[in-house]
Amino acid sequence: MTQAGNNQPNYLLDGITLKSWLLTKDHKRIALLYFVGITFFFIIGGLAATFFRIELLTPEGDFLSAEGYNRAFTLHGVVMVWLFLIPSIPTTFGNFLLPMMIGAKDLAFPRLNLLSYYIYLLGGIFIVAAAIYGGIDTGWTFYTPYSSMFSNSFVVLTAAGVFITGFSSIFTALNFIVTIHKLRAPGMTWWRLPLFVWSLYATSTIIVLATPVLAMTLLLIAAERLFGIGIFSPQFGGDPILFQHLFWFYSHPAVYIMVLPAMGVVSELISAFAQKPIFGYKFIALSSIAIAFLGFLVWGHHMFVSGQSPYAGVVFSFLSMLVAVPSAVKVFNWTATLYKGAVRFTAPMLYALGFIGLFTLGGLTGVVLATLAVDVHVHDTYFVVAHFHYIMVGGAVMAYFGAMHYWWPKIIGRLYPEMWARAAALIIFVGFNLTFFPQFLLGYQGLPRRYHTYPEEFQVLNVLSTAGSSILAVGYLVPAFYLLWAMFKGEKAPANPWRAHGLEWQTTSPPPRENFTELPHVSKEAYPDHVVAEGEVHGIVA
Amino acid sequence: MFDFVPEKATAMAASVDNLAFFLLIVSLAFTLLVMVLVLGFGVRYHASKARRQPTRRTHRGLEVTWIAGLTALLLIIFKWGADLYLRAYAEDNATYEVFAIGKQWMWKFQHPSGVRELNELHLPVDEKIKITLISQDVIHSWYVPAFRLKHDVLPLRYSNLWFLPNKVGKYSLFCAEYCGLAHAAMRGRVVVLAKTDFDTWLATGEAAGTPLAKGEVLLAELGCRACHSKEDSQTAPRLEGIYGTTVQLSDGREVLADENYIRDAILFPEKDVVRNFLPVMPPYEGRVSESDIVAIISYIKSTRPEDDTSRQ
Repeated sequence: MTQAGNNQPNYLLDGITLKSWLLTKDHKRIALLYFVGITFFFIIGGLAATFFRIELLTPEGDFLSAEGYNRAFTLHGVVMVWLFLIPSIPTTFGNFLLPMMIGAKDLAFPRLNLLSYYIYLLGGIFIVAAAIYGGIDTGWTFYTPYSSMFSNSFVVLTAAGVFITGFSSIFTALNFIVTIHKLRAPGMTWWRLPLFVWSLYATSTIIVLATPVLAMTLLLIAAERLFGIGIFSPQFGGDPILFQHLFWFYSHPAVYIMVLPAMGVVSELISAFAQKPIFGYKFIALSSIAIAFLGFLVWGHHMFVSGQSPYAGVVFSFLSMLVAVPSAVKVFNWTATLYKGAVRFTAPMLYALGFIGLFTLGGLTGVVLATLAVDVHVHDTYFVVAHFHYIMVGGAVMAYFGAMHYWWPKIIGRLYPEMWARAAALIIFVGFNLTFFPQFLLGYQGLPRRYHTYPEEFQVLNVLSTAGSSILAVGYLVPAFYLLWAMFKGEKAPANPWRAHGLEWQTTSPPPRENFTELPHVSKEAYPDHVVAEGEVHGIVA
Repeated sequence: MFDFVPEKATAMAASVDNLAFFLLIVSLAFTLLVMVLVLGFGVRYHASKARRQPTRRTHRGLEVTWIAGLTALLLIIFKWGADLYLRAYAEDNATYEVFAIGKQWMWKFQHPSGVRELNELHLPVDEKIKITLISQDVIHSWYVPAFRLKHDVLPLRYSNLWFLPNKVGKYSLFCAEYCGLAHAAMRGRVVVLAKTDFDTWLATGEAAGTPLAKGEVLLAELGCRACHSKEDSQTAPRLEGIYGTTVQLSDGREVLADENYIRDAILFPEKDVVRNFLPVMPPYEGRVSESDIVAIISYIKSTRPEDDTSRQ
C-alpha cells in the first residue's frame, strides 16, 4: 500500500490490531466496517429472494410451504429495506467521502459514528435472530390488524430490530448535517459543495424527520400485541387505516432516503466520465431539497384503494405528480452534461448510464401508479413490485456498484480489472431487466403480489423472471471475486486515476489517517471547466 | 391484441386501458428519447474524439421549458385519472346492490333477495352495481382484473365500489391485500349473466330466506324489539324508514343514516347517540355476525316510516 505524504501511514495501516479496527473513530474505517455488514445483509436478503423465485417457477406451491413463502418474502423486504438499502450508500460512501469532499479530517462526532455502527449491528442481530426463530409473515409493511392481532410470528422481536436500526440512521444523519454545516474547509461555500454532499444533506434531513415516526408506529404495534391496547384493531376500538397513514408517512420519505444518495453518486460519475462540469448544478442541488420536501406530502398514494376518502386520494395523486418533476430535472441535466463532453464508458460510467435508463423507466411507472384510475387496477399487483425494483435495484443498487468501482482505488489503493468490471455491469443490466420487466406485464394482467401459488396462465412470465434473477445473481457474484482479488493483487492506484475533480482526488490513494497532509483551501466551484491531465494533481491553494 | 391485458368486462375497463395505453406511449417515448440521447452523446462525444469544447454550465430557459412542459403533461394525466377514479369510488347511482364479506380465506356474498354465495358472485349485465364490502378479521381486498377494479375490505367499516359490468362471462376474483397463510388461495369468480339468465338463476338459487325477512326475525330474536317498537318511543328511536335520512345526534352533530351508521349503532351504540335519547342501548359487539348485520340493514332499507311490524 502507498505511504501517504509526510511519512504518515495511510489509514489502512494506521494501527493493525483488531481493536484498532473495532474501536476505530476514523470515518474511513467505520465505512469499511459498514461495508462488511451491508454486504452480509445483502446476501441474506438475496438468498431469501432466491428461495421464493425458485418457488415461483411453477404455479403450485411445491418448493416452499405457504408459511415458508410468506416468511421468505417478508424477510427479503425487511432486510433489503432496513439493513441494506437505507444504510448502504450513506454509511459506506457517505461516511468515507463526506469529510474528504468538504476538506475535513473526520465527521463532527466520530464516537457517535462508531456507536451508529454498533446500533446497526444490534438491530440487524435482532432481525436475523427473529428470522432464525422462524421469522415473521406480515410483509415488510406490517399492515394491521394482521400484524398487531392475528399473526402468529415474531412481530415484536423483528419490530424491535427495526426500531433499533432506526437510531443508527438518525445518529448518522445528525452527524452528517452538523458536519456539512460546521466542518467545511475555508472557501468551501454551499454552492461549491459536490452534488453528492447536497444529496447526503437532503437525505439526512429526511432521516431525522421521518424515522422517529416509524419508531413510534412500531412501538404502537408492540403495545397492541403485548398489552391489547387498541390503536389499530377494530376489536379493541382501533383503526387499521391509522396504521397505514403512520407507516407510509415514514415509508414514503424512506424511499427517497434510499434513492437520493444514489442520485448524488450518479451526478459525480457523470461529471467525471464526461469530463465536464455537471450541467445545471444549482438545479440539481435544489432538486434534492425539493424531493426531500415534496416526499413528505405524498404518502397517501399508497392508500388509494384503502378506504381513505377518495378526495384525499385526489389530493395525494396531484402532489405525487409534482414530486416526479425534480427527479426528471436530474435526468435532463445528466443527459445535457454528456453533450459536447469527452465520454468514457468505464465500469462506473456503465453503472451510471444504466441508472439513468432504468430510473427513468422506473420513475415513469411511478407516474402510472400515481394515476388514480390505473392504480386501482395495478395496486398490490406485480406492477408495483416491478416499479420499486426498477428504482431500488435498477437505480440504487446500480449506483452503489458504480460508487464501489469509482471510489475503490481511493479506498483500497489499488485498481480493479476494468474488463471484468464492465462485463459484470452488462450482465447485471441484462439480468435485471429480464427479472423485472416481465413483472410489469404480470401486474397489468392482474397477478397480485405476495402470492405463493398462481393461476397457470401466469407461468411463462414468472419463469422468465426467475431466469433473469439467476443471471442477476451471477452479475452480483462476479465483482465479489475480482474486487477481492484486486485488494491484494491489483495495480497500485495513483491519487487521481480517473482525472476527476473533487477534494478526495487531491490526496493519496489510500488517504492518510487525517485525509489531507495540509488543510485544503477552496477557491473554485465543485466542477471546474478545467480538464485534468494525466498524472496531474492540482495544488489545493488558489 | 396481445394477451397483455385481461378481458374488458366493465365500462371502466376500456377507459382504464385507454389511459394506461397513453401512459405507455408517453413512457416509451420519454425513455427512448433519454436512451437515444445518452447513448448518442456517449458515442458522438466519446473521449477518443478528443474534441472537448467549452459549453454552457447552465441554461435557465431550457430548465424552465422542460419543467413547465413536464408539469403540464403530468397535470393532464392527473385529471384524466382522477375523473375515472371518482366514477368508481364516489358515484352513488346503482340499480343493483350486493354485500360482500371477506374473511380468512374466503368470500361470502349476500344478494338482496336472500341468495347467499360462497366465493362466486353472480351479477346481471348492463346494470350499475354497488358492492358493499366488510371484513370479519383482517384487511382483504376485492379485486377483479377484468373489471380493472379493486377496493380494500376493512374490518372497521363498510366500503363501497360502483361498477357496470357490460360483458357476459366469468371473471377471476382475487384477494389483493396480503391477509395471512392462504392469501393466495382466497380466490373466486364473478359470473356476469344476461338479465333473463340472471333472473332465472336468482329465482332458483339457494335462498336462506330473504335477508329482509331474516332481518325482521333477528330484530325480535336479538331483543331489539324490546326498545325499538311503536309502543315505546321514549327508550329508542324507530328503525323503520331511517335509512337515508339525516339524524340529529345528542352532541349536536348531524349524520347520514347509511350502512355504516346502522352497523356502528348495533356494535358501538354509545358512539352516535340520537338527540333526545339516553345512551342505554347495550352494545352487540361479539354477539352478532357480519351476515346478521347485513340482514338487519337489508330489512331496514326495505322499510318506510309508516311500516310497523312490532306486533307480529
